Amino acid sequence: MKFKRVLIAEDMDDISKGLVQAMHESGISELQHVQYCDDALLKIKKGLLDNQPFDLLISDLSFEQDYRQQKLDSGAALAEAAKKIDPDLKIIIYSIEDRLQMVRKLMQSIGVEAYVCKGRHGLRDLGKAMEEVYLGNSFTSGNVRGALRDHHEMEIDDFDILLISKLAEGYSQDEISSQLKQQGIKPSSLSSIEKRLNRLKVQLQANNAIHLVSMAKDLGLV
Amino acid sequence: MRPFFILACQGLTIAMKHIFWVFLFLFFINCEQQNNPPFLSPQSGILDSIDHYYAQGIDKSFSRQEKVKAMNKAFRLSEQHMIDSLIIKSLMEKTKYHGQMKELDSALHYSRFILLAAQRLDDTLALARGFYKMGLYNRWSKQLDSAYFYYNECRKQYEMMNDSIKTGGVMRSMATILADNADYFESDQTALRALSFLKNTEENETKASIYNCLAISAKSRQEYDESLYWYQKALDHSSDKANMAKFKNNMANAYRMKGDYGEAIQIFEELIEEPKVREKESEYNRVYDNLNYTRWLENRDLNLEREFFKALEVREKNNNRRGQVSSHAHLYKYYSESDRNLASEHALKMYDLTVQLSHIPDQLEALGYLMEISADNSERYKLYSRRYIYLKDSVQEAHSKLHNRFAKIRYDSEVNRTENALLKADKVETALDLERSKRRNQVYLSLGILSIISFTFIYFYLRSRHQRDRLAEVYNTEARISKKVHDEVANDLYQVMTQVQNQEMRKEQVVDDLDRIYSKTRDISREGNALDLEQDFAVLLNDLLTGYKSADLKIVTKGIKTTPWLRIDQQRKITLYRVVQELMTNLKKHSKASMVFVSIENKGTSLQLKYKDNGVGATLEKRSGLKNVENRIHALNGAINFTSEPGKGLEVLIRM
Repeated sequence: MKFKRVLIAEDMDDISKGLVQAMHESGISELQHVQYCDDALLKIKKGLLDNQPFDLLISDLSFEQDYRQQKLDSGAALAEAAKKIDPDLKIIIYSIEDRLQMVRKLMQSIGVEAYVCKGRHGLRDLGKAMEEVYLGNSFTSGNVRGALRDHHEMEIDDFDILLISKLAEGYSQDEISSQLKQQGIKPSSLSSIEKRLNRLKVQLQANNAIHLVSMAKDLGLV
Repeated sequence: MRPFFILACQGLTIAMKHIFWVFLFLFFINCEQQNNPPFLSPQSGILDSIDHYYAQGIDKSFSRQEKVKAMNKAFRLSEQHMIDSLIIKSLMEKTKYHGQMKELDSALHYSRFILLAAQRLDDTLALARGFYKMGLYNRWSKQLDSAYFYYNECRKQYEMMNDSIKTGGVMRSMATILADNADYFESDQTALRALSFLKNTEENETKASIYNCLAISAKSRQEYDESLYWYQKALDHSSDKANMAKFKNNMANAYRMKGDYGEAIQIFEELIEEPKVREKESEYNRVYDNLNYTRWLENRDLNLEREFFKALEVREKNNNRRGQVSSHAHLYKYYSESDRNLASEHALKMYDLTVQLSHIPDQLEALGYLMEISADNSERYKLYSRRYIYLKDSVQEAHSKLHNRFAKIRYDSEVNRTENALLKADKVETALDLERSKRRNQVYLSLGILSIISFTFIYFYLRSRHQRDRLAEVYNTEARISKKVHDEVANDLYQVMTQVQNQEMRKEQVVDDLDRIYSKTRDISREGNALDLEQDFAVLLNDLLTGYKSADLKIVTKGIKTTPWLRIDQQRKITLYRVVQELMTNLKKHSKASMVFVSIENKGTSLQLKYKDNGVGATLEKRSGLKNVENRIHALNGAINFTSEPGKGLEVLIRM
């Protein structure tokens, strides 16, 4: 673990205590902890001014409102502001929030490096995230990993169903190709049919064409 | 009315130019007098003589000739000695006699003398009376524009004197002139203003005749119901039998023009029996002619030729030109179907008379008949139509100029006072309108109030019902969440608590148990989450499904990408989302399925959702989650079909 200066923004005392403890155990030399987003931003600014910038910001997303009026009212706002004044600062979001759109927004629009969900494996994931981020990679907890995948990787269309039903009727890929050509359906080349069927196999995690057809039948696709 | 005004002004200028001649005339009279042996006596003696002649002039025991002679003497003496007050006094009577003897030129001539004397004396009352006489005799000699001008001058004087009775009276005459000139709008305005002057007076006969004027104006505009309303008012106000007979006759005519012949005939038949009508030949004749004409209108087969001519003869004998106009109009109608030549003859006679009378509405009517009877495109037809159009246009022009004149009055400080009167008149007009539409308004008002009350009632009823529905929904949701917290969280927590209390447990296992409970609370919270429909619904739905995806569950979708979500209403989107959520939660909890297929198809007006898993199948009764799905779909009037066989998975088909 080679991060030196780490800033934690977290308003729940118990959680932050656990975090601080875990950080110390992993040998972070300088660790600062704030309970407000505004304070966090001030610290980051000060670090830049003192020529001692933070390497890493670990921030919660939701902060409870209290008597102090805050300009930055959430971890997302803090992350955005921090990235603006210090693009080199790495940010890990550590939150209970697991809505995929929020994860997408933070990682794709604001550009945070990692998103870790609080939970049973939260601390473990956080450790992994810090390692990955230090290496210049990004990281997301398992339960929100889907956020960054292709939106429609589960989606199939009528053409897919047509291919599977042809297979179910016992035609070979060659025969299917020439039938499609006859009927004027595109794409009809052997290579594109092969490509499609391979994608379907991956999607349904089918071992071979027969497996694929049997699963499709189970799902009522054909 | 503007043309009248200009003409009258021109008339006055001409009169001014000729004032020289007036003085010359006075001079000659003086000379003439001087030729006679001068009657030299002290001033008081002259006054006595004038008084003496004047007394003779108004003495009823003398014949009219003798009275006129005496009055002439009184006037000459007064004039000789330049006693203006007596000039006025004597000429008032002299002109009256000229008027009675239809010597209208003389009457007008001496009326001018009254005006001159009144101006010298600065006697407002005399001026007003002089103007009135000028108006009256001009009117009798059918110089309607001059008549209107002098009446108006007279009105100004009386108004200045705050004599509202006289003001109202003269305005009544003005309104009648305007109506004769087919200037109904202005006529009505003037009549209503006149009424406002008479409002607090007992001048019921004058009021009645104003109502009569309003009625005639309405009748000429073919607003017969309006006209009948005013005639009724005239009858209500009048107590003079002769006047009442006239109003009734007019009223019956209005019924006739409206097409209500029965009512008209009934009134005429009553009238013809009245002593006041029978005793005056012209009046009787009028009713007689109208009655016959109406009878003929009711039954065109009647042969009433003789009766029509009889009426015409009487009118010709009495030199009643207005009456002759009616007779010719009736005869025209009578012949127009049988004998075109005769019809055309009567139309022509009628037209000539109307020109003499300068009565525009009748003139237009006569021209209409002439156009009707002459062959299309004949020279005569063209002549008549040109004349007709000219008259119509001038009437219309007078209307359009009206507004300009009102605008001018506002800047004319001299006439500023009339503006006040105008405003007052407007008020009275409004009051009259109000009086008339009071009952109507009351009906509208009560209808309005009734509908407002019912709308309010319905509004509050619907609102309270809506609130009740919402409350019920909120209550249901709360009950569902509370049940879930109790069943799924509290129970599990209690289990963990007792385990920790009673047995030695590994720390790891406690944490695992707690994590399971923790994720359950997350699920509950997520189910109640508000949906952000602002963002792409395909992404939203995809995220929902992605959340359930794991190494143990394969999800295949179809149609999420291709459905035109923007075109689908929010309610159906929300329901679809919640239904998929319920189905997936059910799948995770109970089905032990390893594969699920979710397909959405947009079928024009409806949306179809197909769900199929390969789990253990479900029994609907047992699963509150699936029960919820059913409720949601029914709320949208959708259809739902569950198919399930143990071991063969669950298939759900929803249309909404």
